Amino acid sequence: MERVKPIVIALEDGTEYTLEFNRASVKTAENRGFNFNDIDSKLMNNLPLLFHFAFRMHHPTMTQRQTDQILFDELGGLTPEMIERLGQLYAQGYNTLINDDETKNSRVTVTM
Amino acid sequence: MYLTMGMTPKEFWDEDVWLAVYYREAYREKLKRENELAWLQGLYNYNAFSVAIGNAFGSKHKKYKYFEKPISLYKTEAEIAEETKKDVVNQLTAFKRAWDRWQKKQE
Repeated sequence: MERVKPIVIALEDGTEYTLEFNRASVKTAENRGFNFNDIDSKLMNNLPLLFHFAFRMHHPTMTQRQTDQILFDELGGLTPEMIERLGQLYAQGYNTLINDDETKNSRVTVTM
Repeated sequence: MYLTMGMTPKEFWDEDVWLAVYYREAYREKLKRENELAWLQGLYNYNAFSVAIGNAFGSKHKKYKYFEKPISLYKTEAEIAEETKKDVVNQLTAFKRAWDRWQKKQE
């Protein structure tokens, strides 16, 4: 599992924004009804939401209006690479909790 | 689970998500070290019991002794130098054998 680098957006006026997810921002997104699995089917709804929640870790005071303005006016939308990176950053919150090399003395066994 | 590894709730929820991975690896190393220390303690206990029982029930003329000093966990400079010398000798020997084989093929 490789670490995914956060996205850094630098605007013309020199302001920089770092887009990344921590577990609290992922939890907030889910509590507000965001469903990562719907991202392909409801792109117009979910992409601005995902973009907005990516600000919460480093820029928690940004409103969705402000993030939409950056998304649509400044950036003119997201490239497929950026969308993929945002997805990877979002999934990192879960993936880092998965212990791939569990020891054989684990207290929990799962039978399916 | 991460709280038992020393992670604070703030670190878990608000900080870098990769902290969980690092805490897990650090915990694994800590368990490994504790396991090794327990093994070492067992070795000291084994020696102590062996000495006590051996002296109590063994020959009157032979007395067993407990370790005079702690078991060295690190190699001394002399031991490192000796190992390095052996490695060099082995490599040169292997090179000579390969050279001799090559010479024979040429003949």
